[in-house]
Amino acid sequence: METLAHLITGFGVAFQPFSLLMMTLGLILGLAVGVLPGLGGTAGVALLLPVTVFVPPEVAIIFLGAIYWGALFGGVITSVLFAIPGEPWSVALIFDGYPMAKQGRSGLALSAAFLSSFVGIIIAAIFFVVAALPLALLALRFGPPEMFAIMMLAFSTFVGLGTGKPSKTLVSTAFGLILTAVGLDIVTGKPRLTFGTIQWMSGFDFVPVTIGLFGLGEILIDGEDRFSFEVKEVIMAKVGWADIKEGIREIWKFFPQTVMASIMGFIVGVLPGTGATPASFLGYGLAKQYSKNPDKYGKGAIEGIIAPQAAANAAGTGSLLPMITLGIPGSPTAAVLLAGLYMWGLWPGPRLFLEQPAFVWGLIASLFLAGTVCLLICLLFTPALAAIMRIPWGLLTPIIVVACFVGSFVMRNLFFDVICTLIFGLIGYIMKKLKYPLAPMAVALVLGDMTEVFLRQSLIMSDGSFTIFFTRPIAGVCMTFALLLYAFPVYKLYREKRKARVSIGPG
Amino acid sequence: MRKGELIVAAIFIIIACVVIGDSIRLGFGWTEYGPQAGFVPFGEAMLLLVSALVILVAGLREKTDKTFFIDRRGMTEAIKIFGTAVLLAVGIIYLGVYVATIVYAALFSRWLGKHKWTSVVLFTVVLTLAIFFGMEKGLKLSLPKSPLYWRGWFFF
Repeated sequence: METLAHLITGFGVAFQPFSLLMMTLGLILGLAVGVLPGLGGTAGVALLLPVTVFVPPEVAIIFLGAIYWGALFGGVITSVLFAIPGEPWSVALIFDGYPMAKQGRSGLALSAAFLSSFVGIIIAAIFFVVAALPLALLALRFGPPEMFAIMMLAFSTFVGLGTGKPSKTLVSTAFGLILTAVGLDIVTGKPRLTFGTIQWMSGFDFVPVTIGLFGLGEILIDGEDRFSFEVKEVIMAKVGWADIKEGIREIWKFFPQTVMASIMGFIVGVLPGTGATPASFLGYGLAKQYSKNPDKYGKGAIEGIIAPQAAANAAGTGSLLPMITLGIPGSPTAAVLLAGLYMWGLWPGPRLFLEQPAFVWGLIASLFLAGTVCLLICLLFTPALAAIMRIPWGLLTPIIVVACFVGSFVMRNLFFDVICTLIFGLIGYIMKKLKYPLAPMAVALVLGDMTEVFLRQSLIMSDGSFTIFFTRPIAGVCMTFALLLYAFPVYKLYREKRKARVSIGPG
Repeated sequence: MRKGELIVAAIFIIIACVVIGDSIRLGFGWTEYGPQAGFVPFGEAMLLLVSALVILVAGLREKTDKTFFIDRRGMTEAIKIFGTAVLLAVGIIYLGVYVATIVYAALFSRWLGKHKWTSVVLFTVVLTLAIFFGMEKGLKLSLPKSPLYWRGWFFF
């Protein structure tokens, strides 16, 4: 039971006063980020990444992770009380949460949402503990062809399972990859795509681009709708003891569904292309389909709260698993965390487990800890958190924008990065308006360099032959799945055309 | 949004062509040492080119939606927010973070947030000082300063 011993070491790390302090700080920041519509979990984590240079890596990852979990919890409050999603993964919560609040059952809605989030995280954490070491050891057998195949698989999940149109997803991905190619070529040292300028030789840094895309871009989008953000009616935000007890009772009543949603969410989270957002919708949809009273959904059914929350939180937790064992982020926010790892000089995979067990197991232990503490904070401080929404837009937005530029600058002390954030803010805005998915671009930005290195190493190993990706068993399996996923949209299109023809056909 | 779609798709196509051009310069073939520097960007640019072409063609074939981009009111708001952000970015470069923040925060909260002057002044002062003490004193990070600072006239 080596794993158990490691886990106990991890708890030792996580329980250090400084770690606890940073974790709680992260949770509070994450909750604030989750509550605020203008700032998303991904951007929030990206913004605080530069700050983590000052703390040791094992504390830094707990801090950033706590922000993520805080954001997973935080979106609950605004969805239930104001029908405003603070995060994309809390949209599904509005369907039944807001009706419940309007019926005067806001306390119960909130407590059920928090409790099911907690259950989701804990169940995902258990699976995490069980799967982490074996998966990392499996990765020991991975050479460049296998790693490249996995990255192909990661990109393919966006195309095959993602929400955007495949052509737009591919454009996003390709554009992100091209951006990583700018600068000095890793192998030959030649300047690429620099067009003679010195500034471009250092290439684009992940953080300013992400802050621009997800932070500034989001602000621009929200700015359009800001007139609809005025809080209309104030619904009571308190969660009382009775609510908590009843919430526990409801979760117990629907415990099988909650567990199923959590497991499903975990799997969705582990898959590279999908994270908390699709998991929440899937959780809601599946719960409704297999429920005994599907008509209650949408009118304030408590299952409509429990399922998406458990799924989303499990997915968020699960998205860290491939990140830490294989270096493949399971969600855009995990991509930012991965960038953090690189920043601290750590390489995900089996080496990380062997050389930095404090880091890895401290993070895993903090999954349990953060879930518990976050639950407590939410149950006790909901009114305070809801009050954050009252900060006027005219004051909140400049704070966020200034934070975006300052955060970008301190990464490399380059004005280039400030302009970068500005330009990518515009790019993010335009892309979102035109429904180009941004998540594949973020993942491409993090993985682009590595993907290229693995591709080139593999081709050198095989003397230029692409068959190496199929002759090696693990790589072959991954590549096959990847190709299937890439082809999936084509197949869907073919099926739709056939159905259309059949229904028009005879008669 | 048809026109916007077409323009953006065209921009991506142009980007792809530029990258292909640079890849040709670097060489995108195979040498005895492995793939040349332009090999991978060439592939990525081809992917971009093909996908953007698909979008362009699909956009040309669709004849229904006539709206240019977004409704006017939303667009003006977005332009205002972006415009002030541009000012802030340029200001950071030439005037230092703190002076730029003062100007930006005041401008934004007054013009876009429509707050009273007392709130504007209070907000601007508190924000700038918070950033100053948080970053310079707290995290010991040096942010770009204004010309006033470099002439020794002011502490930022």
